[in-house]
Amino acid sequence: MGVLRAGLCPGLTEEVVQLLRGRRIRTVVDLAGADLEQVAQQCGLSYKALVALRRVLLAQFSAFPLNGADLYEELKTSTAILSTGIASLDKLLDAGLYTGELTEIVGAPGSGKTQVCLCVAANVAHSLQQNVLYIDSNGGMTASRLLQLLQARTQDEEKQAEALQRIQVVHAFDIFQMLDVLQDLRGTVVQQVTNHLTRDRSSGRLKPALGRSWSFVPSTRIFLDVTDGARASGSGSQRTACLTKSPRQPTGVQEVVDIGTLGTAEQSPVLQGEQT
Amino acid sequence: MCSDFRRAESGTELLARLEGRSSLKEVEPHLFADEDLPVHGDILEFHGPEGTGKTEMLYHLTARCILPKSEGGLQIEVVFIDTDYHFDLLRLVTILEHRLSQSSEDAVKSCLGRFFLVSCSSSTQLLLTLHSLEALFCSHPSLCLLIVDSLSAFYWTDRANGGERTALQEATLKQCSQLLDRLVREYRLLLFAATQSIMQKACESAEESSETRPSKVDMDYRPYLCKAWQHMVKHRVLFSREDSPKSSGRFTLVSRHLKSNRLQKHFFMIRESGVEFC
Repeated sequence: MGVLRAGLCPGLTEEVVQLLRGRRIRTVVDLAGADLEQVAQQCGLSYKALVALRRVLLAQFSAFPLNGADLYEELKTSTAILSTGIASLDKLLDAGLYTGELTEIVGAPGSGKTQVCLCVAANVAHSLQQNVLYIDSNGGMTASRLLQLLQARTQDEEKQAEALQRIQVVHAFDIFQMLDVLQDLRGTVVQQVTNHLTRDRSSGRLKPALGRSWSFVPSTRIFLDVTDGARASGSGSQRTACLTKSPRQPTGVQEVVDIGTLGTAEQSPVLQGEQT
Repeated sequence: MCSDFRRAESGTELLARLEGRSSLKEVEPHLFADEDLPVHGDILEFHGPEGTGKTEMLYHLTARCILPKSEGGLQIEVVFIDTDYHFDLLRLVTILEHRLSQSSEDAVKSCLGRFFLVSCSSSTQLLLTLHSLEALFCSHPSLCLLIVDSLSAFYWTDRANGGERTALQEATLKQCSQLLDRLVREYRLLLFAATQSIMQKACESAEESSETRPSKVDMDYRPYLCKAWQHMVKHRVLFSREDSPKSSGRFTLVSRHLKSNRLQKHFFMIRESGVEFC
């Protein structure tokens, strides 16, 4: 990033690039940290020109500091909270999924992660009329289930079709495809991901997979577990959702989510995916 | 370039600079494990696993600094460098509203006028941003607090890009640390940098008792960032959280002054209005 070449910015000609390269200044970082008086003397370039060049390059490549008051004004208009469609989950999340944040749903296989994602996608596409990008990496996404969820919300076939059109599904079965999709994503988004569980080596407790470095990334984490009663009966649809990480709510709160009746007005299933 | 700025400082600017800087002694006495309260040029590292309150503590410090003197704040400007992209301005606004006696929109906006947010997406961008922030430090004499959340965000990306040699992997972070050191010294700032504990202990004894041993929090620290950074830090504050139900929701911080090796331990809770020490 930031290798000096002709045309990178006004004032950076091929001649200047070669002179600087002779002094071991190859990248923007080298130029930013160099002693410009010395370089000007050794290269025979004008000190003022070098200072101006440095200023332009820094303005181009560095991040711009935003003032808090301006940022607040902007956020007031662009932040949105998207309801998941499941009342109990919304309670856990303090009204829903916030734009600009990453929410992680963690659970064992069969705990309802994909159902939760499909439900959120259906709710956002239909009730909130927003676009959804659903990135499927394990083949759990079925359009027929999505249609079922939408049919439970509205009988109007046209509205169902409209909602389905707002959901864009991408299959990404390796990390490079995933990165490809994510690189091109622009706009104000709410992000929701799912994760599996592994067992901690020393204490034997269950913890989210992908390790410590990943654990810092999501702002909110919900742990889905099969309710004890459901486990005993073998085919229950009750799940317990526990909030284990949140930037604004106290953690440890639990709510019950019924993934069998997702699609009715009170309880919408939660699905995995990303929403735009 | 900036030296011209500083020579041409007027009398009022000089007073503003000195006055603003001396009042930093009261920013948060709980964080400093030394009798002598923080002087300018101090560098503190906040270290801890995820969910232990490091970012909340940074919001608490920011709120304390940008609130006006009439409300108990220090009325100084703060630059917050966000590398995690976790910064939540609405949370900061909530904290300010709870602390202001009269939480009108104008009062909040005048506080936020003293706050600057910069977001960086790579260590090279962080380095170049620090270079260009120098102009900001020159032109704002009341800017005394620099916060970086967090400095270890690019650790794995740098390691992947640096190939096999550690020196190459750490090169950019080393330059960032040296630049931070120079800026903090020259402009007499106070730097708080958060780092994440992403390294696991090699062998954890299976027979650890469930009660927290007093030195356990200390043992959790495993240095992995470059040596240049480790030498610069003057205070290290380790954050942790107790999992036992009887002390639910209570966070611990252990502050150690690295030269004198003095330790201090404090407990705090996180409420709607931010950090509250117990």
